[in-house]
Amino acid sequence: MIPTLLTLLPAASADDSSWITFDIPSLMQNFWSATFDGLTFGSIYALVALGYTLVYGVLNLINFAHSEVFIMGCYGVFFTLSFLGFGPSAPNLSVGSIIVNLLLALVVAICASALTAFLLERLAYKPLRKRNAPRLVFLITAIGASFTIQYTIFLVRGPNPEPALTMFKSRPIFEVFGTFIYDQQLIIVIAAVIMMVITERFISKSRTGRGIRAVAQDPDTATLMGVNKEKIIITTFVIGGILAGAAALFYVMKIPSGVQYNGGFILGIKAFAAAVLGGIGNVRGALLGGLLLGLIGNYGQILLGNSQWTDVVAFVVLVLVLLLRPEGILGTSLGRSKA
Amino acid sequence: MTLLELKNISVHYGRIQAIKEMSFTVEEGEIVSLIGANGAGKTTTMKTISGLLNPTGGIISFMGEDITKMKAHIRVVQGISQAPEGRGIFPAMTVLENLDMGTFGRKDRTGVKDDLERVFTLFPRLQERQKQYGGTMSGGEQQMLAIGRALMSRPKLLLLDEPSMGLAPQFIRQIFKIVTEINTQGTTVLLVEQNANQALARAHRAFVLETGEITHSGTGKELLANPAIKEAYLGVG
Ligand SMILES: Nc1ncnc2c1ncn2[C@@H]1O[C@H](COP(=O)(O)OP(=O)(O)OP(=O)(O)O)[C@@H](O)[C@H]1O
Ligand SMILES: [Mg+2]
Repeated sequence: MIPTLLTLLPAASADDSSWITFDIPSLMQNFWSATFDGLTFGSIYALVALGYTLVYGVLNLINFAHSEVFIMGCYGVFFTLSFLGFGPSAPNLSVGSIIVNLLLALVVAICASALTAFLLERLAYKPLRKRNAPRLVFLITAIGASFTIQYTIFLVRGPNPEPALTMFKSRPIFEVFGTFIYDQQLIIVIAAVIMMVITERFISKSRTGRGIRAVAQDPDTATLMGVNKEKIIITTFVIGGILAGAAALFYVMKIPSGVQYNGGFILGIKAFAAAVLGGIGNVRGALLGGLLLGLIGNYGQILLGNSQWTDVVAFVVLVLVLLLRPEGILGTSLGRSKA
Repeated sequence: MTLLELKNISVHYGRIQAIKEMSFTVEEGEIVSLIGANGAGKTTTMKTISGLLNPTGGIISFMGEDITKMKAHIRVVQGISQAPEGRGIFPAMTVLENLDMGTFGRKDRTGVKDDLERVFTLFPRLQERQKQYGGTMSGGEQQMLAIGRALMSRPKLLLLDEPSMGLAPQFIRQIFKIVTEINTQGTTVLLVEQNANQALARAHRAFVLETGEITHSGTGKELLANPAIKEAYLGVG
């Protein structure tokens, strides 16, 4: 965790005269490519952010171990693709068989993440609920669970990232505003948005979704209505896991070298920030927050000419937004996502 | 027929005993009122019956069946429905969605429409405000919604925890009138109240609760006439 944090800081040796400069021409020039790529990253943040938001909604708990739910999905992707013979260079396969392989990796990733989320709730949080533990204990348990999973992976796989696997060679497919849009970007954004729309529909229309919203607003009254709170909680964790598993496939597609024991940490923090930015507990807020954070990070990076600044810029904006709107852009209620 | 029976029920919050070996029954078709001062244990009793709290001793039976260990969300399906103290309206759901939550545990979807109509007949205001968010309803409207929602599960036993709390006198009379109406339509009612006058006048039988114990019981009329109760709960004269 510490080394990862250090990489956030600018290298001390950078020549001081250019420590902060605003490269506006560069931003103008690269605006659209930064936008498309920002939306791609933003979709991934949003998928992970939903997991934070849903669990926060029903348990009022910031599930810090959700970043590890996500990274387990990344390992699911990595192992599936290695098993299927993918390597550092793009595979020599037909489009059809690549799609089949990626769908297989998606299924494994979703299972890995959902199972992690399920076990996390059953082994870590449920026993605390049975004992009526105070809120702080849940939070500390969440952080503890996060470290436990990270260092278990560390023990098994070591400190280094897994070798990068290329899923397919990303190709430009059409041009908008003089900038190419790549098939990879399109796949990620479209798939993520479809998953989020399905989630939103599910929460607002299905019987289980009504149960989730009821528990989020008033758990005791929800129980009086016949809602099985425990079933709703575990379902919520699993939904968050499924979305994180899908995010894992897209993340490894975009950053093949990102599969590492602590590889979920920064992404988890950003996804959490996205949830807070949009309004934690709010399903649409997670989407909005994720996309905004992806865009802001990319613009900031170009404007400041240094990729190390991406995260800093994103968080500065987060703090500014929260100063103006402490409940996030769309407010905090799970149910209010409909309004 | 005895619908609900509490036998030697004790409830603790940590080490504090809120209910002490309480026993009483509710017969089918009755309105039974439970009156008592603040902190007497009325809400605790209601939550124990609906299953939100587990008793530390004693047995609860419903329609002759021991439900002491039954989970709260299943008790609703069995026919126990509670309009909780403080109303428990889902603020970010509309009136219609709140009412719909009342049917969550129901298996038969066919009767839902009739029950919705029945609730709208009892509370025309709810029909007018179907699309309004629960959180923006007035206190009195929320109370109607809480009672209406509790009826949507078509309960055999309706638990009402202080339905008159925070309402204007005129409104209180209306709520109590509706409680009687619900009862004559065939629903058994267990009513917790601080407004002892109305609660006793409307009740077939009533109990007085003091610090976790039943100190008086009788028909509503008997308790209304009891000088000790008059002095303690009804205001002299
Ligand atoms: N969650 C809790 N933890 C600890 N003690 C509690 C809790 N809830 C209630 N009590 C205590 O149990 C006793 C009974 O409370 P209860 O809420 O049942 O009273 P009540 O008769 O409903 O009062 P009121 O008319 O004010 O609603 C009180 O002394 C109260 O302080
Ligand atoms: Mg009370």
